[in-house]
Amino acid sequence: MSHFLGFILVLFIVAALFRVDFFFYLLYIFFGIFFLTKLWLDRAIQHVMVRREYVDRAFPGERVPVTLHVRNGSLLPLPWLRVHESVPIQLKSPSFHRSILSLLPHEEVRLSYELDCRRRGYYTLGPVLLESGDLFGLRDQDRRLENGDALLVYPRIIALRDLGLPAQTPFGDVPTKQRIFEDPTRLMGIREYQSGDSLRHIHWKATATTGALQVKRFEPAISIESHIFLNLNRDEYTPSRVHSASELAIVTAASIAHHLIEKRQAVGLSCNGLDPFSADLLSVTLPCGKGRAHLMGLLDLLARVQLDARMPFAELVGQASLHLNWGGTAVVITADADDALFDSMILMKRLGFHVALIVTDPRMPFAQVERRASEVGVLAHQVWQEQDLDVWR
Amino acid sequence: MSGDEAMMAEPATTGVLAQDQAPKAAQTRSVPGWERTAVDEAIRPLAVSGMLTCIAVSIAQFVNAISSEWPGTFFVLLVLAVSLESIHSRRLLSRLNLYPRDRFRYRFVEWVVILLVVRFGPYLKYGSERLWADIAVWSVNVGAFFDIGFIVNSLLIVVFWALANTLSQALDELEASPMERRLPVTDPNHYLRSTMPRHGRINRQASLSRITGVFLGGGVALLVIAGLVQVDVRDLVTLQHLRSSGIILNVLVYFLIGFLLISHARFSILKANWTIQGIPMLGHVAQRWLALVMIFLLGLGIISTLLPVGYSVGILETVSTIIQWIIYALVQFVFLILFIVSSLLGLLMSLFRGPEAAFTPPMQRAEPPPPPSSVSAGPAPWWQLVRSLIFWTVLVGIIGYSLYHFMGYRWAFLQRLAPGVLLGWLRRIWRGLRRGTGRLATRIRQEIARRLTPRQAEGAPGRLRFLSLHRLSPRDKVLYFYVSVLRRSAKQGFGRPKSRTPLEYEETLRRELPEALEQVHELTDAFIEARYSAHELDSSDSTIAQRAWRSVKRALSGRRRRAARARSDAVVE
Repeated sequence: MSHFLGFILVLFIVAALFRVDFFFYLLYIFFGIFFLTKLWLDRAIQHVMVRREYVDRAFPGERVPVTLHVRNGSLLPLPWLRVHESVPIQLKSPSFHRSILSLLPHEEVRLSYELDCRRRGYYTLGPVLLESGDLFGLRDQDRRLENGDALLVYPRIIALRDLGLPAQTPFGDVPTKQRIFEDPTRLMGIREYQSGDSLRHIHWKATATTGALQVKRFEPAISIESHIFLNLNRDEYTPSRVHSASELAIVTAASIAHHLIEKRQAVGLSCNGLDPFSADLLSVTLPCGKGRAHLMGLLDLLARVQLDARMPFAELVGQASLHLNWGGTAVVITADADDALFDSMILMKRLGFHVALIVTDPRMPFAQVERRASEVGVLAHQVWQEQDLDVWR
Repeated sequence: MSGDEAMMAEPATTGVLAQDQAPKAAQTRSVPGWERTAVDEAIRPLAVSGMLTCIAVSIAQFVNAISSEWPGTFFVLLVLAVSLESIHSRRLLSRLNLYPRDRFRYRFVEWVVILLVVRFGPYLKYGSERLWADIAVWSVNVGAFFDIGFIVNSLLIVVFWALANTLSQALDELEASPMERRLPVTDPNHYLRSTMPRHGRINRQASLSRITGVFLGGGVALLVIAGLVQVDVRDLVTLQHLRSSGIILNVLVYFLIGFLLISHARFSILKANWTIQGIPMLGHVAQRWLALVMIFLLGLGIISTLLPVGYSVGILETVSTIIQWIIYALVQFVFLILFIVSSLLGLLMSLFRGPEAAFTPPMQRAEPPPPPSSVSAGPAPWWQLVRSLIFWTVLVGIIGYSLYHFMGYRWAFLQRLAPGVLLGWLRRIWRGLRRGTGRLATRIRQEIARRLTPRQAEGAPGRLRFLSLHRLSPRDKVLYFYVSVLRRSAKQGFGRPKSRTPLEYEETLRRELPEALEQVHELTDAFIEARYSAHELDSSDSTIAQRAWRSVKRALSGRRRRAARARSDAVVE
């Protein structure tokens, strides 16, 4: 570029010395190239707009197509534009998508690539780096675009058909170990009246049709409220299995939550991990809720939550259990069960909760954990691999 | 959706596999084989030769203006032919990969033929009669064959040949070499590439700078020569020549080709980088590039023709006229204000007078000064002034902008030249010089000492061993005493190996010189202090060491005598 300026100065001297009109034209052309290319480049690259089109939520194993819409919003063309889209390495290898293109005024080009969702997580897409230059090699210019697009990959969900979680409610006094409740909103059929049946459950239309008293039969409901406690304290996992065991715990939590919500039960979640959206909180708690929307919120949280080391799990269980409704079920998912956690679980049992313990990384033989848990009336399970969840299918 | 968009949006550009395959696809799509051959074999050589021929045209015109006899047309054609030959031969030699001997033979033959053409070509114009006459002269005087015209022509041809070679080579270097591309680990060339400097990457920016340098340097030469053709040199000296208008065709062609070549080089560099990095090139980037260059240059040319290239009014006169007009406008404005104020005052005063005031004559507006007279003798038309104004504004703008940026690129250097900094800079240079000469002198002394040491060890006669102890510092004295003991002990066969420290060697000395145990310890301690301490030593330290040294020296002499006596006794027995 310095050559160009030097030449312009020399050209001016030569033109002034010889007073040849044509040399002045050349001077204008050289200066125009030098000056206008800068203006051109500055204006054109500032008007380039990039927009991503994609589905921002996915499950593991899915491939998410992303379309980058690169549009030149200026009246000036761009002879070349290098588009460098950065992508997390967990979603794409190599971790970028690059292309060279040229853009005419108001032209839009679409660039497509796919993200391979292999691990759950909250991934930010971009930034997009744009680089362009002039036609004569005088200058290059780049621009960095960050628009905060993100992709949420949910944890894997394993359908649990037979979870077998215990529950207790304040209603009824059926003398069974596992109490059965009937949901009056879920009609299953009718049967003949028996002594002791409530008059409110008589099906009058069927009685009129058959000429004998008929009562409604309802689907049983075994639990009304469950709360999942998830341990994501990094220090409480074995260092060599911290990632696999914690992911397994998250998968277990997501599967149980999904299962219970599919059974139309209320589920809550407390976790001592780090939520990127609220990094200053020591723990994250989602109150109990039902329905698809609640499940998606719960899965969103489980997708983005990360390991942390600020809050001991036993402390979380102790604090969160204070806000639970009596008679619910506490599903405690942790790496290992130590004395402090057992103390908290005994306390919950005394307060009237049913507790299920699921360990993913026990430091002692699981039989010992199971024996100790059974001594305090807690049902214990071990999940070592995702396949272990099959025992509940 | 256009065809381009459809192509870009197709799933072929997606995924990992597509990412790897895309460069090849893009390359084959954007640069077909025939186009590549055409660019390498025809367009580039013609462009380079054309540029150089444009310079040759101006040279021919200039020389012909001085001497019409000189065969200018032949020279121009020769430059064209030699440039093409230079490019062709360079490409051929790089392809054939000949041995140096064969390469030299090729070049030798090539240059003999070129020089023969340079020598005998002009006779196409001069005629055969002159050829025969010259041959007759050469037969008598061989030196006449190499006359001044032939030598100058040959030198010019050599310059053009070299320029064509340089440009062609630089343009070829812009292409991506297969070795530069990332190779798989299993490729036999992978290791070779990884051990090459810069991993086989070529510095293309340097090649582009070379092309730009040749283009701009040639442009300056061309402009000066073309200017000299347009203007009489005598008028140039007195600066009394008139403006010359019209397009100078060869200059236009030169710069047009030059811009296209620079732009092409720029595109080649980018394309090579993209190819090496494996970035797919989508759409018609190459075609659009060429079109945009043409449109840009055309647009710029049109704009340039609309701008004034001359002036009827000088810059000082223009500035003066503008200032006069500004003053005139200000004065008009002031007079207008005064007129309004005085009118209002008059109206106000008339309210306080009697009815006779109605007969007061109306107030006359004061006459402002006349507008500024036109510059120079006669009145200049307004458009001449406007054209001159635009011309000077544009020119001053260009010069100011160029100087600003020109200085901006060198600002750090200029800051270093500030008066205070300049003195410091000179001082540092002076210190550096002194330090450098000091180091040089030390090096010379060490080298001399190194060369003399073997001779001293061999006991070569005539060596100079004068050392004044009085001139040495206390530290050097202590060092000298210790080294002296080492030398003497070495002569007696128990010198200090380099691997032993002074303290370790002290044990040896104490074993060999039991009569001087204390002195050996004192001398060793003094040496360690002198050698490894940072504090100053005074004369008392060196005196103690000297006393110890003398005792040790005596003990060494005694040991030597005893050994000699023992040897003589052994011989007698």
